[in-house]
Amino acid sequence: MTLFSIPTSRPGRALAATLVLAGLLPARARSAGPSPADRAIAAAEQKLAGNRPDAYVELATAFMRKSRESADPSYYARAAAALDRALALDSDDYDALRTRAWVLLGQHDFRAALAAAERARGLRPEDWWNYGTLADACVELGDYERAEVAAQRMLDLRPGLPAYTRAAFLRTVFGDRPGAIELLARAARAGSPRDPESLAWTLVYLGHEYFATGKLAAAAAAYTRALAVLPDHYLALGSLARVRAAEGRLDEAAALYRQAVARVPSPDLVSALGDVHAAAGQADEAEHEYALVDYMGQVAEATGTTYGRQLALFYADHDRRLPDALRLAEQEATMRGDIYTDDALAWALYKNGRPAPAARAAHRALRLGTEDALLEYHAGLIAAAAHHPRRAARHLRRALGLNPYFDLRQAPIARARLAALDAPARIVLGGKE
Amino acid sequence: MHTRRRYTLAAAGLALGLWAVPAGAASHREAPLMTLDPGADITDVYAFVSYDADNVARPLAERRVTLIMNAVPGQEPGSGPNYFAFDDNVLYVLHVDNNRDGVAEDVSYEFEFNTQVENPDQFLATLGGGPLPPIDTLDAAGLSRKQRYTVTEVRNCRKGGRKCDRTVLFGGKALLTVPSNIGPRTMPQYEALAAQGIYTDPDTNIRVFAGQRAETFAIDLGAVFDTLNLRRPLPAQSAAEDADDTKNPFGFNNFSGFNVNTIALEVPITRLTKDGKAPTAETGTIGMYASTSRQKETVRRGAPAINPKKPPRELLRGEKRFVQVSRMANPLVNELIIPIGNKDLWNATEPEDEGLLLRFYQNLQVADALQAVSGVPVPPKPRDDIVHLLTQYADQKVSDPPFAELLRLDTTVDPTPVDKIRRLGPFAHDADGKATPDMAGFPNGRRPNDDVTDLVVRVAGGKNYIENFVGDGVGIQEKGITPAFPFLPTPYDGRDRKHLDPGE
Repeated sequence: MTLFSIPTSRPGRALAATLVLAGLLPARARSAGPSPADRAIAAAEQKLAGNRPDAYVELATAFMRKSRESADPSYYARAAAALDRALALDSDDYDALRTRAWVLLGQHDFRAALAAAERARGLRPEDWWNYGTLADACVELGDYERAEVAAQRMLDLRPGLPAYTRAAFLRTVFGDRPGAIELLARAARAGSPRDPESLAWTLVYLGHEYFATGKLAAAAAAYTRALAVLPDHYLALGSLARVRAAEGRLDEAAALYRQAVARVPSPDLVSALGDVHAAAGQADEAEHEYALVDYMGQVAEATGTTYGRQLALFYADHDRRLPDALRLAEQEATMRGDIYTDDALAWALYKNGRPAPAARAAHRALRLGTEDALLEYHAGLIAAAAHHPRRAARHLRRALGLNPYFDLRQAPIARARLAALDAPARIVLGGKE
Repeated sequence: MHTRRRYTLAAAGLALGLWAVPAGAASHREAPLMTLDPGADITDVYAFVSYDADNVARPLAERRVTLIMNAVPGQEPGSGPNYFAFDDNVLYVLHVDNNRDGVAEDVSYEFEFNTQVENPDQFLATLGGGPLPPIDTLDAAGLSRKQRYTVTEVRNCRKGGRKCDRTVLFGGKALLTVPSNIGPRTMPQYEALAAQGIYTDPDTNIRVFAGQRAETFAIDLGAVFDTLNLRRPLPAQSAAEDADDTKNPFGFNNFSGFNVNTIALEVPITRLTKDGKAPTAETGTIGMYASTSRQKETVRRGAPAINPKKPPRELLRGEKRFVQVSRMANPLVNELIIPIGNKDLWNATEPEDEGLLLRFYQNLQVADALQAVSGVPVPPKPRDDIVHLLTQYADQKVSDPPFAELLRLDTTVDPTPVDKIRRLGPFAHDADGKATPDMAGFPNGRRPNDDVTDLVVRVAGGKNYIENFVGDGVGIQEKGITPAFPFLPTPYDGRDRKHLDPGE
């Protein structure tokens, strides 16, 4: 039991409960036994009686672990409240200050996170932690140069899983996926089954790198390893589902997505489940899932949301509520400056019939030379709409060359559009013969 | 149709106020910020004159010293199909100071590992027994994943460590590590298998072993780290109970039934003394520590590290290609003396820079905690006795540098034969409380079965705690003392492992 007043409502749970009540989600038996984060929370709560800042920082850290494990954002508020308490006891408590940057990142307040990370770094420039939060904030704000400096500093101070994973992410956006794979594999070696969430996270991102280059078997192996480390891990379940869908094993994919959704009802998972139904020709079932995402979006909007980008992409991908897609993407773009936000904005602008600003945003999304099929695909359709057929074909070819399975719904569109773009060229060539 | 009905229900849910605050899940692009790094996590370090019968019988000039570092902690033997390996990206080093300057770079031994997967299609990394051939050699086909290592002796460093004489021992060969003890079907003769992993270098008489062993460190972790909530109030035990090295009077061993990975190296003393001769009162005491380092890495491949101006800290000297991530000499220093916020810094620094951290030794917060929970007074601060014990050689004045946190071993002290080893070493006593010291144990070096928890608690608490035999009630590891190299017991096997609980 907590000894102080932090929000005890669990909104993520509340949403899940609402959905279960509404019959939209299967009720799911709670997994047996406390997780490592649950145990960390219990251990920290025992120490609160002493009313010392370090106990509250420990509790905040445990809540952050729990939020990562469960994807339940209500734990961010609880972590923030615990830190407020620590700082009320000692406004200069360094551990509370450095942890605050982490919590603010979770709450998607990236500018405040950057300021908090800078402040903590000023106090302890030798602490590798601050370069981690700094790199994360800079990445989200689109300042990749500064993110690289921070990540390098982190590697210099403490090579290990946190630094390797951040450097790997930067290698990816800088266009070096083999280099990212090398670092993620090293990070996984440095992980521990005693911290299953970090290890599973690393393996999932290793799988993403393989998936991004169309290596389905290697991706599935990484996701399976993640599930062995942390059974029922929603990220790994959803990612493995994506591989199964790409392989055409749609029933298995649907079952895995359902498992993941039961764990964490996030819009991108529900939307992907809908796409699997659509690919299987089950239009009603697909529509059912899409309607659920719509509904989740409404709830999220009514309550303040942390995933505008996911919803913007969902609406744009499925040609629903397109003005909302643009509004959400533009709203995201005021908070973030990273290439994926540029990409979401580009895609939403395109779907709203504004190819010129879409092309500018797509150009920004590809400014780092990232090799990402989805970015190329968006750029391709946008170029076609802007009457640049050769550029469009180049982007689409690159998208399909990087990963022919990049998206269950969009990849066939990419193929069809590319064929259409190539067709006249072939006729011309044929005429010359 | 049904979708609409569900929406009505959903609306009812909303009306009932279930839609409290932010919805749904957060997207987790953020990478983890925790670093347990088991492969680089040094759990224990031992240094002692080998106490096997052969070495006890040798004259001083021919005696050998064993240096051990354990890593990859808390291995649950039954957690297959995991194979507890060393980390190929970690450099493991044992460092020796033989001229008392506190810089333990006079002789060092580097261990570098390399794993090959020979049969990627085999569904388990280790297969054997039953209809399959059992795994009875280290190069058995059933061991698909094999980890090999080299041992490099480094000495005569000059130019600030940039130039050294480096020799790859064992004829430059890569040696095989001993795999995890999977179980009796796969590995019916595990001890014989493990014995194949003891290599002797004919040129130097150095012996080495790298592989899995049982954890011998016994501690009531739950009680000690619950702010010293020992399972009996003080005075916790009688002299007779404390003197009995055959059973644990109370408390329970949290490490019971767990394994670790061990690197054990046995070196003739004359390779370690500064003049290469038999140890004397003047040359016989060495200081040592173990470190793990990770390779330097750049964000962009092939690019130079960004920050050419200044290393992150002046404290950091580090080798060129590696960043030190963990170090250990004396037990429990990292756990009990260095504050949480300084542990990473401490692990990255060299032992000879300990002078910058002496305040933590002088303040010895754990002694405050002892006094607070027991009401029994501890010695006044500053704790120069602790500074002296952990960072100086015996004949140094406490005011005089260098201060280097090293495990110090007087190699001229005869090894105690196995049947006479006492878990409290120099603090051993009989049932009446009369001193019966065993001078070959911690803090004169450290042997695998020395009861460092009790020793540390008593040293920290001072006279009152020594006289009252304060301890955690656990000092005996159920596998007992291993009488021969590598001096650590056969690991618990995955199938039949057992963790003893309180009262068992």
